[in-house]
Amino acid sequence: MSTAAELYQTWLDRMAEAIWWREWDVVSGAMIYPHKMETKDGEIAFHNPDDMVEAATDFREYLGRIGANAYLRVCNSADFADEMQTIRGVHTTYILRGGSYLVPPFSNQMTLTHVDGLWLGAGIRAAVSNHLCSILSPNQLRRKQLAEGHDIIKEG
Amino acid sequence: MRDEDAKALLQEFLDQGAAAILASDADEFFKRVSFPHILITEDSEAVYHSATELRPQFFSVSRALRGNGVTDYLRIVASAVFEDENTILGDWVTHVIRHSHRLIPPYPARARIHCKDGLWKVSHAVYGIKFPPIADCFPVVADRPHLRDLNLMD
Repeated sequence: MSTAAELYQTWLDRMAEAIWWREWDVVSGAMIYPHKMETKDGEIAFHNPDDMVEAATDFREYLGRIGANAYLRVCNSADFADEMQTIRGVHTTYILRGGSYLVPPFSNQMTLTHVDGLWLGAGIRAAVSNHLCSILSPNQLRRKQLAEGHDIIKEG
Repeated sequence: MRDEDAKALLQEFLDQGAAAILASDADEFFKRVSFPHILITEDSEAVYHSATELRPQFFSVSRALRGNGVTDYLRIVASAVFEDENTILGDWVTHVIRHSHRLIPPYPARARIHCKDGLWKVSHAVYGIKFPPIADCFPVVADRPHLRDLNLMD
């Protein structure tokens, strides 16, 4: 039987490839919804696969814009929880170009949930500022801020 | 001398070496190798007495990486300790990737590096691989790599 770390790493590798090659159905189909992605300075909730596709598309464009030629995530530790229906892990993200780090490697906490025989992403918290690495979609952040501003106005 | 400092020093050393290998920059690479140099794999052990002896291995690895479209050759330190103030012994895992695809399974490695005149150099290296059967190809990653211990007497 695979260990939690092996399952976690397999999931990371598949998603990194899917993001790199713009396989958006693979990316959006490997998550549960609603889904939350957090950085040190922000968070975004994804309510459906379309939200995830937009976020992944923006992130892939960001990788291209900064000149990345490799995107790798490596599991540091992972453990089963909830009677082996959940995996909680920690991994490090590497964004590279020819042996150099384009962004200093950063740590992440991620949860996978077992649903109908598949391991699905159930949220991630990245220990990096979105100013340093544009994990959260600028377009989605902007819309979120506008919506929150709307709420304030309505409440006022 | 903290283990964290040893890890950071070894990581910087490995990153510089990886960049030199990817760029086929032998001069830069051999600045970081001391001789005699002991190189151990899963199925071999060799002592190299000069850069001239080791150059064919360097270029074979470099050609294998470039010939297979490797975009990054990432070596991530797992542990490292100071054996004395000028010697570090550490382990790492090597990832050979093209964009986001692993071309071979990650494999472990171990090395001892020494600092002399402000420059770190590797004297012993152990890799959890077998040499490729054909030159300029990727090495074969052992099923269950078992890295040889590097005793101080080596």
